[in-house]
Amino acid sequence: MPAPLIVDVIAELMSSLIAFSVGYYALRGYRVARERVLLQLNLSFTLVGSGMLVHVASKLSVILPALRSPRPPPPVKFVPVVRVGYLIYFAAGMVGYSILLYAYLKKARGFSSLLLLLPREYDPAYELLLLFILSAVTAFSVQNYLTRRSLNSLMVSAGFMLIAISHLLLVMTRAGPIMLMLAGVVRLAGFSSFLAMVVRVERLAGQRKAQE
Amino acid sequence: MRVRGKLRSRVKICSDILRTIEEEGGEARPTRIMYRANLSYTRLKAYLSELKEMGLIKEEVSGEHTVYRLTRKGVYFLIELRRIEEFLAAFGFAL
Repeated sequence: MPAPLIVDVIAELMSSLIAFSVGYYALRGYRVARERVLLQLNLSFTLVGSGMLVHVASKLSVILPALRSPRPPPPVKFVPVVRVGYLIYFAAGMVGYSILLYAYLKKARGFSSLLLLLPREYDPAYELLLLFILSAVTAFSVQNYLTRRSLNSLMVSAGFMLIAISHLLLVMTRAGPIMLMLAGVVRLAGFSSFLAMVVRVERLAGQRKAQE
Repeated sequence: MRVRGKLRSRVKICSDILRTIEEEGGEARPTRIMYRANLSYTRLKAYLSELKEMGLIKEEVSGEHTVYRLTRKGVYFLIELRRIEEFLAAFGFAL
């Protein structure tokens, strides 16, 4: 089994779990504060995490049986179940990141309607669409960092930036399998940055509780 | 002249009231809370009643005056709210 595929699957699975963690953290906040933006963050990250999880499951459904078979497996990206899995991952990402973009645009007091388009595995056109939405989300988060200059907002900006770069690398997967591996690792680094922010916020809250 | 501004959410108002009491050393008189939290007396009474029912503050008589104190639950609730605010602020949002 080619190493880039293994790294891609593992990195995507870990990114999915981290996305669920961030979504759950937002849900915990929503249960206390009942603020819509927390629900939007929860939905966004949960959707993105679910899409990635389905994508991983579709690839594993091909990879795992192939490990037991003496015959070499077909190229994963052409297998129908993987293409359906990728479509679900793409749709979930589009909706998830669009929810986030909607929240940012509403906060900016004005928004224009977004045209959502409806792809093979890692189709460059679809990845460019995700990259476009993510670039807008990244721009808002960088603006927030430039305003606040806090470590937490830097981690969030870095997270979105790395995920956007991963989609850029996925656009270039035709250049070679190394891009697939790099994209998975960079995406995982992005989601890890979100996790680091959540851990930091939680640790600060724990310290305050201990002081009381 | 009508001043346009963003309306505070319920949780933001509750947070402002609890934070005012905390900044006053854990207890505060209603008038102080009213000015610091920027509320009318009628609305303040309603929110104080609600916060009392939730167990986040308690009402005490100190001499001739009524004061409101943060309970332990109220302190932890404020810590929770700060946690949520920091999480939201990282993304560029606010309560």
